[in-house]
Amino acid sequence: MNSAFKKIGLVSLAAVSLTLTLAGCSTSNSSNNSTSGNGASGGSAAVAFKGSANETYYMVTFLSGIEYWKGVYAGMQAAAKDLGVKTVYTGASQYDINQEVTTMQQIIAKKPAGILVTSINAKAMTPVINQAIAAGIPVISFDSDAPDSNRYAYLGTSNFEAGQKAADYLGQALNGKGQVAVVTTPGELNLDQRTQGFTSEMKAKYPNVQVVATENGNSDQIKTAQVVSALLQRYPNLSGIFADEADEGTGSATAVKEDNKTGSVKIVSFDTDKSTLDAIQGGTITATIAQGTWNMGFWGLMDAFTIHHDMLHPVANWQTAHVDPVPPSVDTGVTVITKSNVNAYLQQ
Amino acid sequence: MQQQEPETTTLEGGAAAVDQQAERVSFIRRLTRIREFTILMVIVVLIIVLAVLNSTFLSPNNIVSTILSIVMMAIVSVGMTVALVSGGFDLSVGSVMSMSGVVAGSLVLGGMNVWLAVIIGLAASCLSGLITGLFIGKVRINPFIMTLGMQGVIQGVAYVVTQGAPVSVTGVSAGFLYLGQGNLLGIPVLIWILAVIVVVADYLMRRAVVARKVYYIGSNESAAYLSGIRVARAKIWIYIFTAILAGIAGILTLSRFSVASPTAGLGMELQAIAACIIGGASLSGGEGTVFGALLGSVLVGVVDDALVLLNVSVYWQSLVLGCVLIAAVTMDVLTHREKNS
Amino acid sequence: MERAPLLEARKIRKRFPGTLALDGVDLSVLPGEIHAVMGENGAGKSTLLNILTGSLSHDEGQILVKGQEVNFRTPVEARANGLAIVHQELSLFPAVSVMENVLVGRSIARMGLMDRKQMAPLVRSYLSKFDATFGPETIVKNLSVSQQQIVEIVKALVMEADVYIFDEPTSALSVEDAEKLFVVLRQLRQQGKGIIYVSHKFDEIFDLSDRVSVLRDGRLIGTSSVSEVAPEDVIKMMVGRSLDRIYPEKTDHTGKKLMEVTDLNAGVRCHNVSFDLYEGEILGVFGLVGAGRTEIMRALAGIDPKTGGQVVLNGKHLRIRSIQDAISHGIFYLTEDRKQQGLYLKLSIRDDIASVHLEALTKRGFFQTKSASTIATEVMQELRVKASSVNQLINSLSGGNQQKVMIGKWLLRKPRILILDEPTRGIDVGAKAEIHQLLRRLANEGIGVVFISSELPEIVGLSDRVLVIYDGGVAGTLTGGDINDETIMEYASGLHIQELVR
Repeated sequence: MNSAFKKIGLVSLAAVSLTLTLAGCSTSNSSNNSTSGNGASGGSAAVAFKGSANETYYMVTFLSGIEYWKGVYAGMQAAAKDLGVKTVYTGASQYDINQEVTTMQQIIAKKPAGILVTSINAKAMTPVINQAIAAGIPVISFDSDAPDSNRYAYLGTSNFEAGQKAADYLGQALNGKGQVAVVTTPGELNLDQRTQGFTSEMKAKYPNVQVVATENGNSDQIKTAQVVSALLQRYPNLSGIFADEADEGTGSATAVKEDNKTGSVKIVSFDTDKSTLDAIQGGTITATIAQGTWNMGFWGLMDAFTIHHDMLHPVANWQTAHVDPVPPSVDTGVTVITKSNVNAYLQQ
Repeated sequence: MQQQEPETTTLEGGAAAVDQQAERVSFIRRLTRIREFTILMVIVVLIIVLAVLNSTFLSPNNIVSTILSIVMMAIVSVGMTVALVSGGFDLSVGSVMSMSGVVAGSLVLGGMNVWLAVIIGLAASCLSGLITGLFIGKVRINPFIMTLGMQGVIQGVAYVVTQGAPVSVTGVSAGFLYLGQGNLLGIPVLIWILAVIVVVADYLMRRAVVARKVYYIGSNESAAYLSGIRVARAKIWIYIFTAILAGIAGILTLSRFSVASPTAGLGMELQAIAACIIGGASLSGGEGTVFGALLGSVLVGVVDDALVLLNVSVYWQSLVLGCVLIAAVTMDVLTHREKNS
Repeated sequence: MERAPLLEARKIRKRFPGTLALDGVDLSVLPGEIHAVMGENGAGKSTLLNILTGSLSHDEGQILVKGQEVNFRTPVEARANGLAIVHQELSLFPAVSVMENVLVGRSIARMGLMDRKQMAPLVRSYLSKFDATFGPETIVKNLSVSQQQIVEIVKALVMEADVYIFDEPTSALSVEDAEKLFVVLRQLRQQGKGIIYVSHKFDEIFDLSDRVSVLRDGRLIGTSSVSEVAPEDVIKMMVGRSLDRIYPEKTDHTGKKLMEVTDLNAGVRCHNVSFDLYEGEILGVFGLVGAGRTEIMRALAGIDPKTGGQVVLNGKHLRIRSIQDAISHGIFYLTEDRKQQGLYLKLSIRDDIASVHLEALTKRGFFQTKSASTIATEVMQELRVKASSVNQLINSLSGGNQQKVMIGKWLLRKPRILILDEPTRGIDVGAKAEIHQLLRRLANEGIGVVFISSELPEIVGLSDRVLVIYDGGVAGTLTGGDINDETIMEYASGLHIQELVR
């Protein structure tokens, strides 16, 4: 009996130790899987698209106070929630090249998991973007690109096409005939591109719609109201205005209202801040061009995340093979918002 | 049209004819020495030239819209005039203008009665002016630095209140919107408001004892102090006045556009200073009138309007505007040079 | 009969860091008295006046107004107690009318609005005492310095004070305006007011005042009735030494003709002016205010444009179209307005002096500080400028020392003709004498010295010949026995019109 007990005891002891060891292995395995290290980690995650709580992605902007970036950041935050990672919004408060470059450098020092950046000036931001990438930080560009840098992808609106879409809408709304004017801020690249898209599309598709003037609204309501008032005097038959910036849209609407021409002068504005949406609902602005800002943020973070977690294998070693890991250039598109669909946007 | 007192006196019972130094000047000569008159002439000449070049210029619609376009600048300039006459200036007016609009607008959006919101917006402007005035008057910080600093602070407040987005107040009471969008006897209410502000402020600056002290302080601060004027206290009120007027401009902008943008007043301070200087104020203080500031604003408005009516390309517009301003002030300085031999 | 003093200062002591500015000074003003206060600059007169009128506080001593002790903390309090002061320096508001300046702090208002209808006649009534040719609504910056001084005086008169203090009131006034002031002062005295009168001008003091007090080095040397003391005694009290002569000896021979000016024309105040200047002589230029002395000399020195005229220097015909031309020929004009136009108040003595000597003190575009200091020190020693070092700022020097710096710096450039406009205005006796000696020395060295002055005694005492200007032209050139007060005044008043060179 002693030897039988001894045998059972030994076997039990062995079984217990084996079980314990196996349990220990698997827990350490799963804990390995749930905490991913910084930088590109070797080895695949046990669960895909799951980040960690201290994995932080930064968004760097300029004129960081304006409402426009909020839409982008909202998309980024939505992706972050799904992925279980942290995001931080930052940027240069002024329209100041030095400020944004400095901010980038400060972020790089924090060794983030990735950066989404919109560049105030492509040339000035290229070196610091490259600096981040050299440090192993994935950088994704959105809205305002730095095309010569090593950023992995650019997500943004084709401003030229946005202008074209505006021209299409306005041209149809005027039944292909009439006088229109453009209010823009010359010298700002995005806006210049929108204006060019607008005027070339009008010329090509709606030859009986004349673009009689292009005026400088200085991105300011008061200035825009002044030039539009003067335009309405100069061209009493003006029937349409394209304002390629939000405040210019508001200013145009006011000037048209002051001249009692609401309705007879159709206004197409840009972007979706509340005043513009309210104005569409109220009828003083006819339509606005909404950019795919939410998508810029959402897919931008997705790109950064997948690069950071080394989930991309289009070829064996894309880094050395100089192959893009993610689609390098994504047009997030525009939507024309009018009274018919404005409520959907207002609810956000 | 109110004119500044002629600078030499005509025959007074018994006494000799005119000042030895001034010699015998004709009425015309004396008239041209009044700065406002010169600028008015410049404006008249410009109007005539423009009317010839483009007949729309003199249409009532265009005249009204031109004046409407400078209402905000002119209101801010009235306040700026007082600051300039005292020997200082206020670079924060643009931010105060933005801030008052967004504060009032945000409160309205939050459900507050619009007139109460307006009062709070103006009170905030007042507070800004009080702080500015205290530091300039009592602590004696240089106005340039102080108001530049305040500009940043108040602009920051405007951004924080709005989180960067313009505040849209559609649906606010019609009574409030009447101020910025209504018409009285065919003329926009805004222009009536401007007229009242200018007439009252101009009259007070010429006649009210309290306002005359601003001229004394600006002319010779130590002499003013020694004659018993409480200079520090006066400066506090001066900057409160400047801020309140900027606040009024902000509220009226909210009413006009139904939108308060945190950048509504960006750059307004330099425009206002330019209008005042064109109108005869001096950066060294002691000189300048409200009426002159109005004329300066009108000149800028006329030129801006002309640039659009005459189809001047946008790239040339700021060049042209700059040249016209330089020409106006140069001609004025030259006609006054002999006075300071 | 013992009258109670309107204002009395007893044993006033005032310390500044490093110096005792006033050491137990007594001063009293009786009703119906003009009490002159004399003393060299630095004697403590300004400090005493500032204490009396509330700008400074005293450390020890008492001030009594009508027998009651007072302690003024601000000038406003002093004014409220019946003390009015007319400072030597103008402090007016240039862009504002005369009447507003006169009534500042006491403007007549109805419901907060200025009442011009009441203010104007009030101010005019005071202006008429000076037969002023300008009215209450005139803007101050259009007035001449002399007229502005009248405005300052009226500002004090309007207060209807009990005690008036005048600090060098006639320094900027013409002879006739000064006379009118004296009439006013005598009226005030008759009305029983008390007047403290600070001046350097002996003739005024002895003509006008009842008593004279002399300060020296912060102490009261003595007070006596004017009838019981002579100017020489007063000078002795002021400087602690006796001056045999106030003026240096005139020269009895002059050399060849140095400069010949013919038919100089420059506007209304200068037409067909011709005069000569000889080596070794001092030419005094006298004229009533507005006669054109300054305008003539400025046209000569290229500062103001001239419409005609010739200048011949040492036989050579000069073309002077600008200041630089005149300077290059060695003709220097030293302005009467040394503070505004002659000196850089915020600079140090060294930098101010260096300003006329920049080419010599610049090496490869850089300023040679050490050489500049050496030169400045030489000038200071040569002219006995009283200052702690060459680094002292110009605006902290006394008037006399400032004037010396101004003359000294121009001497560095080796002038051939020096034209000095009111060189001793507002300067104490000691410094004045030094400048007179200096001018005589310069003339003896062969430099042509022309000086404009409104002080007849100075003109009479210093000039070898006198050029009298009337209404923009030369009324006459006086020599020898003709150089006396009456003759000069006659010519200056245009009484010898037939002899006028037109």
